[in-house]
Formats: sequence, structure tokens, C-alpha cells
Amino acid sequence: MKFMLIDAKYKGKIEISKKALSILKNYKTIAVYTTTQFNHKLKPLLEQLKKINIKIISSQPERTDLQFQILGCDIYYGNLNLNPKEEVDAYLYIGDGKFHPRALLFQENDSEKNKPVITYNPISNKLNIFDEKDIQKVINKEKANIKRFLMSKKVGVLITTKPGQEHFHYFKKLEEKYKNKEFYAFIADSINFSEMENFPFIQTWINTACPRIGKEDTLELEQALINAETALRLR
Amino acid sequence: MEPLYDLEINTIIKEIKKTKAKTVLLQFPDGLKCYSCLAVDEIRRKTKALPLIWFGTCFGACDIPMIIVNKVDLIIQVGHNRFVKNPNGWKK
Repeated sequence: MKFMLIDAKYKGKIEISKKALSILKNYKTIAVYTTTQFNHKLKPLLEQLKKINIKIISSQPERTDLQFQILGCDIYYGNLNLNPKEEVDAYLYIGDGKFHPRALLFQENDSEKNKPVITYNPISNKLNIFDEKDIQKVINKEKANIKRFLMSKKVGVLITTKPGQEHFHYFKKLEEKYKNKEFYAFIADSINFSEMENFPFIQTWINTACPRIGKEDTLELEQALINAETALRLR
Repeated sequence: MEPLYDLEINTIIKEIKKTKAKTVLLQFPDGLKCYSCLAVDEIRRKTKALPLIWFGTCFGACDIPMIIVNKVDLIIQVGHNRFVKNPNGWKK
């Protein structure tokens, strides 16, 4: 079996509007990120920012293929591979949707810096500014779920067969760290939350697949669920 | 409807012909699923391969449906580029 990837590059041009530039001017140093769809069209936009004396910072996050590219799983401090000595006033995300900008907000929350994330949609030419308030509900739910996990005796560990997201090793690490808990390993391709009802003996679920499952997805869940990274970082 | 994104259908056709694939799985993320018929119609017109559209998630290059890898000759995922897995986990 052979495998091929097609980027699906954006065909239009990217140009920041005058109105958006006047807002961006308020930030001296900006870290710029985008997806693979828009990455090849960034150059003129970067020139626009340089012309108004904005210092541009970027990086190639650890799981990406390109500089300036961000993935939805880049939610932990360090994932972006940014130089820790570089001080950033704000992040600028070029693209549509909120999934990737929220990754930047989670990453900032993890670093405890909580710098704002500005989004510029090159299709609608709209600019929006997000900050920690936009992820507060998720953070509050995570805190509550951590408490439920600490009180739990029987814990289900969700493992995916998706090759890029499979991290079986977390199971052993959890067993080693929490010797007073009983861990049960569950494996599937996609994590179907309705399956949880069939295992009522599980008091808390630990997710080892895409870490976004342990973020926004938890808002829809009655059952407690946290990411393996979160569980392993608790003291 | 003309897509805003380049689906590179000619590249897809070339790859099918080069690999002599008989069955091809096409994976699209949610935002591009509506254009999957464009690729399928062109594959049918220009090759003898059977195109299948993945009726499931496509979160990224991290999300390849392992259940089907031995049943198709070629998987083409549109909308993503190379994913560099860190075997140690999600955080460094």
C-alpha cells in the first residue's frame, strides 16, 4: 500500500487589510503561524508586517513539516519550538476556523504567559482577537476532571490505532505513577464517547490519542476525561 | 462549485497511473469532503482504478485508517502534509 499527501493549497492571495494592519500595529513582536493551505502565500503578508515595524518571530513546531506551520495538537509549552528567550507580544494565525488558534491559546495557557492570539482570515479578510477567556470553560472543566481522576480507583485508558496518534507507552507510565489505581486499556480507531456508557465501572478516562480530545471534547461529556500528559504531570 | 484550494487532481491521476493502483482510498478533512466527487469523477474518467471515499474522520496525516491499509493499493489524503510523530508522546 502506498500513501500520498496533497496539501490542498489556497489558490487566492493573502493581503492584510489597512484596518487589520492598524490593529496589528499595537504589537511590537508577533509570532506568525498558519496551516499548510496558506503557508506558501505568507511572504507578501510578512513584508506588510515588516513595513509597519513589527518584529516577526516564527518556528517549525516539532510535528510539522514547514516553518510557520501549526497543528491542532500543538497545545503544550515547547511544542512550537519557539526560542524561550524571544518575548512575544501576540500570536497571529493566518487561516480560517478556531481550531488552530485555540491550540495557540492552550499552549499559552500551558506556558502561563497567556498572550493574545489574533486571527486573520484571508478569505473573509476579517481579524479577531482571542485570549484566555475563550478557553476558560475548557480549563475549568479540566480542573474538575483532575479532581475526579485523583478520587478514582478504576481508570480507563483510551488508545487509538491511528498510527500518528498511537501512544501505548502512556499506559505503563500511568500504572507506574499511580500504583493505588487500577488501569484498564481500551483500543479503537476513533474514540467514540457513546461507548463509555458500556463500561460503567470506569470512574475516569485517560486519553492517549490526539490531546484535543482532553480539551474541548470534554465539555460535551458527563464522564471525567483528561489527557495522559495532564495525569502524568500531577504531583 | 470551484474549490478555493488546489486539489491537484492531475497529480492524483499521475500517481494512480504510476503505481498502477487498482483501488484508491481518498481521505478528505471535513472542510474538503464536499469536493471529493471532483476527484472521484476525474479518476473514473482517466483511469481504471476504483476510487473509494473514506466515510470517517481525517484529522491529519496522523489519522490513517489502519483497518483498510491491506485492502487498497493507494491511500491519498488531501488537505494535510507530512506529520512528524514524536514517539515519546505529545509533549517534549
